[in-house]
Amino acid sequence: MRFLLIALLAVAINGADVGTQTKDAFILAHKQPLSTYAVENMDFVLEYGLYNVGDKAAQKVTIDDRHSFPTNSFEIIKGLLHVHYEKIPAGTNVTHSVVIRPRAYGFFNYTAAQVTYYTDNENLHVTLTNTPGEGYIYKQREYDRRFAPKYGYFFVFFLVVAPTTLGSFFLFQQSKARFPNIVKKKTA
Amino acid sequence: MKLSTVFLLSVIGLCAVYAADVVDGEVTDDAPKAAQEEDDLTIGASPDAGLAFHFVQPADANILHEFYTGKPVKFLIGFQNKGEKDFVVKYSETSFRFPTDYTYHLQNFTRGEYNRRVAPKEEVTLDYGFYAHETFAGRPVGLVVNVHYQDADGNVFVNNVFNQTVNILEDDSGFSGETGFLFIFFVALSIGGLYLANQFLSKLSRKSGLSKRRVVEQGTSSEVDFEWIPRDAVKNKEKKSPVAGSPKARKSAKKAE
Repeated sequence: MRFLLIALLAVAINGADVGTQTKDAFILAHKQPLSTYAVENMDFVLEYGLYNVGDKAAQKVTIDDRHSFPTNSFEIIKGLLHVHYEKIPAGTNVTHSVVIRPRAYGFFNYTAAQVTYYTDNENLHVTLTNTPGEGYIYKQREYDRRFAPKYGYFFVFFLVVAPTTLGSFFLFQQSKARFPNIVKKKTA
Repeated sequence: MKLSTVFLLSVIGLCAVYAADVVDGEVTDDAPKAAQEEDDLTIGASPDAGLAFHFVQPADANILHEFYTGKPVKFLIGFQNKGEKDFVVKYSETSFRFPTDYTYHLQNFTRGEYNRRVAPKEEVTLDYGFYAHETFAGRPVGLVVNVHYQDADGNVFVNNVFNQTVNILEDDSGFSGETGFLFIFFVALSIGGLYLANQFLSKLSRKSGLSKRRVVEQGTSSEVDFEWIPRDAVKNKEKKSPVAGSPKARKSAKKAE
């Protein structure tokens, strides 16, 4: 019985050890938005990170994220959604960013990008990145209301306060103009 | 009669003792349950799953195992399905443990729910992030990250991907309100000190006669610009001024006369 327990324990420890050990190339692919707000017709920056945490280099690495940003709802401003790297050595990382512009507002589900790579030039690995999840694409007007400079509001405010500020200033100017001589005498 | 009462009492007493035992039994029943819950974590990993762990933020955490309070800590978990059946990665649980006793939980973070299906020969990357609270600043804590997953047959596996002591450092790079206002206060104080010193020094220099001849004010000149004064006020000036002294004194003077 005791022997069986010890054997089980040994198996468990061995299993746990094997679980986190990677002798081959192992790429962790990360996808995250860098922009805080997604707004229609405004730039939205995405970043992809590839981390090779294995012990060998990964070859022919490709990131493909064309399926998660269909061109009828997103415009690609800068960068490619399909990239290829010849080699990512062990213990290094690559980041890739893309600027896109949503065409419409509403909820959008950001899904995973697909990354493929070869270890030893023959074993194909298919990795999916994390999913940033559902995000809201703001209406342009909604965004402007919160963050745009409010020149219009300032103009209206100046119009409203003009009677009390500009009006009193002109009154002062008028009364000052009535007594030009006296002021001169005093200073003389 | 006596014997029967003794018997009855003894029966009642036995019942009471038995009841007390039952209550005691409830307490002892809880212990194995707790032990079972602890045992859940030792379910172990599946041989068909390969896991990897990597800190993304801060970038040097993979080597140094140091975090700053108030700054996000982000890590990635890689899951590789080496078997022939689907796996479903359910969630990850992150917790801070007491560094000398890992069974003592200091803080349990919200689980990262994934529920992602991983087909055979496929890999998936999962992410999680947390903030270390200020109260942990300057202390080592045990960081434990477990990943819970299921295979197609519904067998539950738990894989530990990170289980090490990390140091939590105080974040002193940012602007702290306290020191900022202290700085402003000292600047104000020094400006006030300079002003006072300037006043004192100028007084000293005046006394020693370094300054120019002092201009002595002798009141306004007798030339009055009568344009400013209303006519009737000028006429009043020509009248006799009232008698000096208080009205009371004048009254008493009249009585005396």
